[in-house]
Amino acid sequence: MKKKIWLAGLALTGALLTVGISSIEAYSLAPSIKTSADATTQKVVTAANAFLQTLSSAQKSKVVFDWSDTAQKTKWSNLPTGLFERNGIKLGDMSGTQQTALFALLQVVFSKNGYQQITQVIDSDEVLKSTDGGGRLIFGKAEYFVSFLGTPSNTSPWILQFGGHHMALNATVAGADIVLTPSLTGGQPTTYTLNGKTVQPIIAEPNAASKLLKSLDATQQKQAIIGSKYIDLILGPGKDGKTLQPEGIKGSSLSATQQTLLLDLVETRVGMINDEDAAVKMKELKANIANTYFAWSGGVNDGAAAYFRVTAPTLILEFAPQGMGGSAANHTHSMYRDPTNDYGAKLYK
Amino acid sequence: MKLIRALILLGWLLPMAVAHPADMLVQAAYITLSPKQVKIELDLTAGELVAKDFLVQLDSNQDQNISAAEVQTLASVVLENIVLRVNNTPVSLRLESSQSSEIEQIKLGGGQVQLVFVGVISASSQNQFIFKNNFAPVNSGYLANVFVQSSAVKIISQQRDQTQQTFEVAYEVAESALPWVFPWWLGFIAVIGILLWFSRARFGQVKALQS
Repeated sequence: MKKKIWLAGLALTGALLTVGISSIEAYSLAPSIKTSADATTQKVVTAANAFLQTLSSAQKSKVVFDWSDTAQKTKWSNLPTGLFERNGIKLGDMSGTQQTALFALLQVVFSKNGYQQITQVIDSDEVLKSTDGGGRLIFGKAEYFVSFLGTPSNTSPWILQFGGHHMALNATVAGADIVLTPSLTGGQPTTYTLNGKTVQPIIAEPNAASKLLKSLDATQQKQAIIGSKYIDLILGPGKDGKTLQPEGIKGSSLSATQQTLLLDLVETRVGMINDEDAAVKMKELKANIANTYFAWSGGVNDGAAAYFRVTAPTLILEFAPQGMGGSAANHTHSMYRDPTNDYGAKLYK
Repeated sequence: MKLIRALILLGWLLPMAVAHPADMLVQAAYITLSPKQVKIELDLTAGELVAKDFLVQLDSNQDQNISAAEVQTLASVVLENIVLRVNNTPVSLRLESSQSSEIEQIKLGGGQVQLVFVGVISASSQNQFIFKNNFAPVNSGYLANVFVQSSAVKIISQQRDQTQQTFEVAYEVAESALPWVFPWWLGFIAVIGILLWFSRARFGQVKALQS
């Protein structure tokens, strides 16, 4: 009897120790989030798990990375396969069911416009594949990759990475919040015909910037224009942790109408994420409009290629035409960052 | 050999070029200021149409492999073509680190050479630096931007020429971040005080002797 009691006590102590150590490990490994998951996050987590369930165990092991895998977190680029090797699994290696589940996930993470832009940029790479490429450079829909940092969860942070040529989307999900910084978008060609229709995936943003520039008077334009030539992205891939110093015209020097145009411009990028999370970000940016700067470098006439930038305490937005693909406006790169919240840095402890 | 292998590995790990204008060598300078130091990261990205000519200089022995020594040689040429003056005083820069993508990536216009130079500066509360990049082995496009590493540094203004080869920045450094310098006028007052005290003491001695 005594022996049984002694053994039971030993087993209980062992169990308590195991649970205790696991809890300590869990506590130290999983960062704690600052908000509770809302309905949007729950939908996103459900869609992410639905996608993961379509994968084989071998595919799952390729697509899910540890939350603390910093190398994977920062491994993204605008470049095509052949110049940049992505991890995860690519559309070309997925079945139809798996692709459907992945696109269903993208539809809940992103807004209607954001999702449309993603699919149109992928289509533009298919167009590019038919006209360019070959050799070591590989273009086309099959070369877009998905990966996860951390496991989709309502209670701990995780990141959905989706990217390929001209696209590097990093959506950090943490409780009620989903943020898209840092993300790179772009495209080549930026105008193409598909099924008899002209498609321009990224036209809204340069149009909004041009409208704002035209609304400025001569004195304001002098402040906003920082150069006469278009320049390249400054804080593209590999430039995490840097904060551009403000340049251009300050929001406080704009009229109420011009401030609205500035917010319209910002919304073309911020609005890629689902409506609810975009609204949270736009509210924050609206509150900071007086400390937001707009800068322009390039031609001012209609159709002229120009770089522009918006910087605010919690935003860096760059748009850069590229000297490739015929007209510079036919090949563009864009960056979207939040110097205080890239990869959702302020959403968890 | 280990060094070469490490360099090749770094080539794969190095973040890829941001963009790829085909007909130019993009030279992007990221200048980071702190109260006592300046760091210049220069990213060289050759477009595919100029990569071959750029490689003549980079892969100097033409063995189709970019060694650490070749990158350092390029860095020394770059350094000869960079001018940095803070408050009109030339800043002596030294190469802190260098890395290169592999040659195949550079040939395709997707590779990058990254050079990091550092220099010690003697800043005051109000400062101005002028950065000039005259390195032009092939048709080049220039970018120059300033960043701050400390809240003690505040950028006041930035000016570039049309090509962005010349970049001027006015900036302030908080007094609390500046090295403490004994003010010359305090020293002057102290010397005068000592002299006065000494002369009065001597005058007192003379007076005492006279009485």
